[in-house]
Amino acid sequence: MDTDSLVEDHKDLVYHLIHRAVRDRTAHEEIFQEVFLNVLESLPRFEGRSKLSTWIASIAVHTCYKFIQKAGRRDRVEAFGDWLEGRPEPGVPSDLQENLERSDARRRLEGHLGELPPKHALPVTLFYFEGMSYQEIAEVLEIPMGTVKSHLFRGLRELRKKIEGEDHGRLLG
Amino acid sequence: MDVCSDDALKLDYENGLLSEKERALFEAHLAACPACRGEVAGIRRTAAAIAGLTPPSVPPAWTAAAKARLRAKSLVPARRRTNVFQYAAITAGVTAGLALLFWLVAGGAAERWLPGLSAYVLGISDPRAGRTVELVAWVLSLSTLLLVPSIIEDIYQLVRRGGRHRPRQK
Repeated sequence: MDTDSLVEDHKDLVYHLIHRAVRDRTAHEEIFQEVFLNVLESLPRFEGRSKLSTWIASIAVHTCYKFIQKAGRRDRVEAFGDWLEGRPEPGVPSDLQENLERSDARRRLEGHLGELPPKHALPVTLFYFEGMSYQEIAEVLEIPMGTVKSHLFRGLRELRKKIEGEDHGRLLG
Repeated sequence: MDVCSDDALKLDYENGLLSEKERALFEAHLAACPACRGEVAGIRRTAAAIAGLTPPSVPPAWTAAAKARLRAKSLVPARRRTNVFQYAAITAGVTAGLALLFWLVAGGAAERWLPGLSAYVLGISDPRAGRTVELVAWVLSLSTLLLVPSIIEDIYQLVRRGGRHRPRQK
């Protein structure tokens, strides 16, 4: 497979997942490169039992998890499941630009989405941004389909509470 | 089953994943349950707000860097699993051949069995020049022995490719 197409076709998917799973933005580029290197290395073992994008998303999620675990940025990370269950790790301090951007309503919503724990943020991202089915999300996150629905629902509910709590629901129209 | 606590049902309804029958039953429930109506409306509004977000864009430099790294990596041929028996047979053959050559040259066997071989082959009549040729041959054969691993590897790769030559990629 052409490596340029591999990157071009899946860069958004990989980036969105990293964006949701890892709060430390300074690490995003390194993880982005690492994901694609891992994909290339594992490509001979891809059997086509799932869609290529699902398989790449799975590698991206695992790479994020491994990065956080290796960097020791989270004390509580012991297993993949724990990480998915946990809260997002502390991010780098917001800079001025970020604060300015947050004044925008969409940015605030984006911020709320970023505050969700990975177990809720990842299904929301995969479902609404990447258009994946419950089944595909279940494969990526290695959790049962019922759990995907439950996490997706709770992610939406949590997001709604955050929005309503902050600006009395104006963001929701 | 308690419909009010079935979050998956509400989500499936909102995402249009219920059958016609399930949908009709749930809508009948919604008509009578303000709490579920509020919850479903909340899901709808939140999902619409998320759908209105512009997903973050990948910095172009990252994409270019990833492509460059992948291109560089894909040029390095992947290591193929070594066939131990094939490799061992080639190693034994090359070693035996070189040992024989070494014995013939350094052990003076050629000179003993075929007197004046070097001189004859090279057309040298001077005994001293003949001995110099012997020395050069000895040094060359010793150097060849130092290259044995590389020779074995090259022969092995050639055998694996079925005799087809493929230039090494830098």
